[in-house]
Amino acid sequence: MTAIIKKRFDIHVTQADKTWPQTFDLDKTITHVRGILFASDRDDLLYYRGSQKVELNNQEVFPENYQSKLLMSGINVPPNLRYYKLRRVPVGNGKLKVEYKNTSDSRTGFEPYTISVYVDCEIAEA
Amino acid sequence: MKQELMVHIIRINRKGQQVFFDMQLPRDARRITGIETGCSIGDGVFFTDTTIPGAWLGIKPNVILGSIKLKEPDKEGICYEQQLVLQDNNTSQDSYSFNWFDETANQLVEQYFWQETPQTHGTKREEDMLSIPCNTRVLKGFYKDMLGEKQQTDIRYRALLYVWYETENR
Repeated sequence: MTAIIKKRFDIHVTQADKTWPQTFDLDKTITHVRGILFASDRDDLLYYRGSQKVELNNQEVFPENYQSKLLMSGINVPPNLRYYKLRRVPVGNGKLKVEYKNTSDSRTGFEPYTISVYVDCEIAEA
Repeated sequence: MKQELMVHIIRINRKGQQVFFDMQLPRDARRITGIETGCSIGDGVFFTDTTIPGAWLGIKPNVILGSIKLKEPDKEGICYEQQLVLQDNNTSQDSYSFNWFDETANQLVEQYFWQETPQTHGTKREEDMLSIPCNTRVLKGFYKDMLGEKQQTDIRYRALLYVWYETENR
């Protein structure tokens, strides 16, 4: 039997025009990743300034310069459709690597903010 | 089949700038399945408000940065064409729950503490779905700046092209 859980990982962005690489360890019980979603306490900064490279199990999911706005979902999106579907990717070594880049944009001024990476996971129940 | 993505960045610095470019597809790409577009604006760039005045249900025109065209080298015609939109300026069109009607002023009044924005009220982004066999390794493209030409100003920005393609399982 498998169950579905959601995991959240945070990256704190404190400087402009800089890349923030972080590697997160998924729980040993997680077998597959079904989806991914990006959110922030400053939606506007993530929307206009954010881009990221995402790797799972050393395999690239999104390349560098893939904009965060393409992985965000507003409140008009039904909750069950908000995650970007990843076709049940096996977690392998369980390493989720996110290289988030904050790039200057004239539509927003920089302030320190936190981005949240939500991962839709399958776990094998004992 | 595995789905992968490649990104191509087009840098625009002058009004009306036209850019011809080639995208080299990987050897194991079998089929192009989708295209997405995006943009990133440089510092010091400002846009004039294009709100239509005097219409309480006014539709705000979206700001068009430019147009992208793609072509397969060995085929006639364009296989993909899209306008690059800065952002959706009409996310508030159906959102009456945050507004109220002022009977005295006889007009719709927007709540001042939560304005609808693309990042809070935008719909989920989906790629433009295509099905183009990768018979050649090159995809030819053309981008033309329209906003700078319209405003007669050199606007500095990056147009981003995301190409989704399928590969064989390794």
